[in-house]
Amino acid sequence: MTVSDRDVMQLFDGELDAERARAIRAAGVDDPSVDARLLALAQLSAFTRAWARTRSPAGPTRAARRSLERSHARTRRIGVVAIALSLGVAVIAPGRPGETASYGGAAPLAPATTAAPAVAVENVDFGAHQGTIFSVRGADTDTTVVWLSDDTDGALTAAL
Amino acid sequence: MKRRALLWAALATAWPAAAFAGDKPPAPAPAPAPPFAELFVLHATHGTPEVDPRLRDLEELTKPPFSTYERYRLIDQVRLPLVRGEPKTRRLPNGRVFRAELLSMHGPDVVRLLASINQPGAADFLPLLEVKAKMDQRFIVAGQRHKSGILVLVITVRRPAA
Repeated sequence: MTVSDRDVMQLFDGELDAERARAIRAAGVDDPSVDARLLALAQLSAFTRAWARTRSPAGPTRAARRSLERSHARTRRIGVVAIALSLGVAVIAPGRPGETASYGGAAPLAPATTAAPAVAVENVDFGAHQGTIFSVRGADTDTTVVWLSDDTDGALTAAL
Repeated sequence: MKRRALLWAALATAWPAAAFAGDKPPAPAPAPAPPFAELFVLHATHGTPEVDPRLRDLEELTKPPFSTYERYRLIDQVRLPLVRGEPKTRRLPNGRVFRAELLSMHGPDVVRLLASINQPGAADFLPLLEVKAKMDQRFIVAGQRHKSGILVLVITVRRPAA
């Protein structure tokens, strides 16, 4: 079964009936790109939420800023990240130092200025694996998630 | 009259000495118990929806990308005391080893924590993860494949109840 991007988006948005959702999830067992695409959507969703906050008239100077970076190399690297995740999201994948690009075409955002993060990832080395840092809304705050795949090939990078 | 004055003077002098004679020097305050990392190891799989009742508070599991898995089982739970210079380890169900170590305290409620996931006899899976975390605020390390699913490690730094 081929799972289209539309299928994945509808699954992410909860727009599929239970049977169709089950079929796509079952297909995802054999197709790791399904998980990767869902993860990418989660990151994109969180990014837009964080970006919107920085543009909010309620207080752009007080809003925490996020730096969303993406790179393409798979070499081992230590990425130093200071992330204010209590209000938003950050994404980091392994890559060559200095080879970064803004995500989704948006201008890179300035570092966090105010709110202290509940959990801040200060330093990470994903080794030879694909790694991503983002946040998921928990009961009261955003929860920092470090997602590290066993796949060394770039399904996640391709999805991004 | 003079005798009575002398008596009062003697009492006034003796009372403070008597009052404090029985006091012992204050005991030193007990050192605060070290914080610990509470580690939950979850196994996420596809199939008939079923979430371990002990995980009901983990709202994150209902959100993408975690919600792409329907079944969550709590397969291990441990408290790792966080002491500087004394890393603690826990073997994971997939044979890898989770390691946690306290780097420093920043006030009573914030810790810097070093974690890693090592693969005995092979390259480390997650060589380094350094976080600054508030007490009782969890973070999640997920994605390792395990038995048709993935492992989800939920780590919360806590302080023992007084």
